Amino acid sequence: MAETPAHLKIKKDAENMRILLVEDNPDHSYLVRKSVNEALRSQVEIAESGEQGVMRLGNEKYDLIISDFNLPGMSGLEVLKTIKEMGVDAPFIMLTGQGDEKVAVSAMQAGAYNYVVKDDVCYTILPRVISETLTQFRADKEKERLEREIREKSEALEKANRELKKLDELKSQFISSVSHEFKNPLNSIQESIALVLDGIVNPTEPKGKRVMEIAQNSTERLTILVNDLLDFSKLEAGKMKMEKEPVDIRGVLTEALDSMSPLAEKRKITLTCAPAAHKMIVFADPMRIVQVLTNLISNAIKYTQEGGAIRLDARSEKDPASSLQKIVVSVKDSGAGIAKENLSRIFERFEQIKQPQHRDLPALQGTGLGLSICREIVQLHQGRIWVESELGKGSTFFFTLPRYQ
Amino acid sequence: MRKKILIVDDEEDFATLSALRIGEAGFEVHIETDGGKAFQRIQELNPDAVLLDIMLQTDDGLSLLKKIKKEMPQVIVIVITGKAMLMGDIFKMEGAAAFFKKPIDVKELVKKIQELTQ
Repeated sequence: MAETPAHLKIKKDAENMRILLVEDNPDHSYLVRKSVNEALRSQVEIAESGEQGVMRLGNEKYDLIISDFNLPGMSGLEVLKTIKEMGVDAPFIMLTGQGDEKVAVSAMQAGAYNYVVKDDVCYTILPRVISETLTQFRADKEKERLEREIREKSEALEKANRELKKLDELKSQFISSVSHEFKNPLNSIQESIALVLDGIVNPTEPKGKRVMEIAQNSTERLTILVNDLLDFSKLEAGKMKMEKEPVDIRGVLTEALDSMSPLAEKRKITLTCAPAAHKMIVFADPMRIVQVLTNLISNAIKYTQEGGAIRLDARSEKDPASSLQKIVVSVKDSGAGIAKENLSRIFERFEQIKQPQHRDLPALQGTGLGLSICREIVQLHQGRIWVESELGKGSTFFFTLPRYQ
Repeated sequence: MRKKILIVDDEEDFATLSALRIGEAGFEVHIETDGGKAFQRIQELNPDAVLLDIMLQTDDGLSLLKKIKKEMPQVIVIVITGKAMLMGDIFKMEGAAAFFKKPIDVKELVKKIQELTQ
């Protein structure tokens, strides 16, 4: 393939540049400007002293700087050092006198990109030097950019890797704790059946009935665990579909209340709901919202002492960001409250804050997935879930749903 | 006279089921689900053997084991734990007569109790 003619190459790289020339000698300025204008069709502005050059470079942006070394007042080398300190990011070419190699070396050390010895032919080779300098400068910039990009990307990768490792650890812990959660009720069921089969108890007598109840509680517990795990894996795979419809949130609250009342009664906790007189229609999957509510209520029961109270509420509110109406649902308990350091963690996957167990309510022990499932469901409704709590003063869980317009 | 067994376990359901089978084998069985009250209960009952769940929520089971063996060394203690990483050796060093890991085969447990209380 034929090589591109030299003059074309120059044009391609260095056309339409804005160049600053720091030169006190008007004859030299004229020659530089003429040669650059002709060869590169670039604009050359002249600063007649080092001080003037620095001032211009402080105010405006140039693609390239050419400076004479010998200037009255500030020398070319001082100009170079000063503008480097100012952070001017443009290649610098030093014009030096004949036999002045030392000057050239110190200029290169100070960060000049190139130097040209002033002689009879220097004006004819200057456009080529400019072009080469720009090419070099751009290549250096690109290299810097790529290096920065690689550094940033590898940092991001390392961070992601650390997070994945942490998640993996949590997952392993979770699997081991969940398999333990499965073993206990299974063990109870096996033993209950064995007691009947071995003739130790008779299901028609009180002792045997108690054994059957224990087996039943254990199967309920297993059902909860399995449902949590199924929901969780569906959510992880993005396969949980919300079947949304316009629905009055008051009916949803009542349904959740009805299903959780027996458990609350057993613990002597007052569970109330004071729905507003007017309809509050949300666009939501009612089954899933009942699931969120029963999860929040069962948590509230778990952490509330006998004689305590849990209150469900829903109110309409304007979202200040979108100015759309939304419904805020809340579950307020008079329970133990949540320590500040745990508030941000409780919605995370696999997080199970150490909790008191209620031997009379084994069905309340969960997988530690409940709240993260709640969060996912609420988010699939474009809502937000959060908690406000103070140790010893109870907690209130809130979540929002879009109002049906 | 029937030998007395005390089950100390905060999982009441499983304690109840174990008690039925152990009772069927001829023992007098009592249950304590509150780890904090366990030692007092042992002193009152003076059982022949204690089945001690080491994962009790309210008291550290290991310290309870030490206390029993120090103050009532005649009581046989059988340790039961759901925690895999707590090894039986530690309990045996502290004076436990036997060690069971959950899930438990209650028939095996009864055999062990019979053997230890003979």
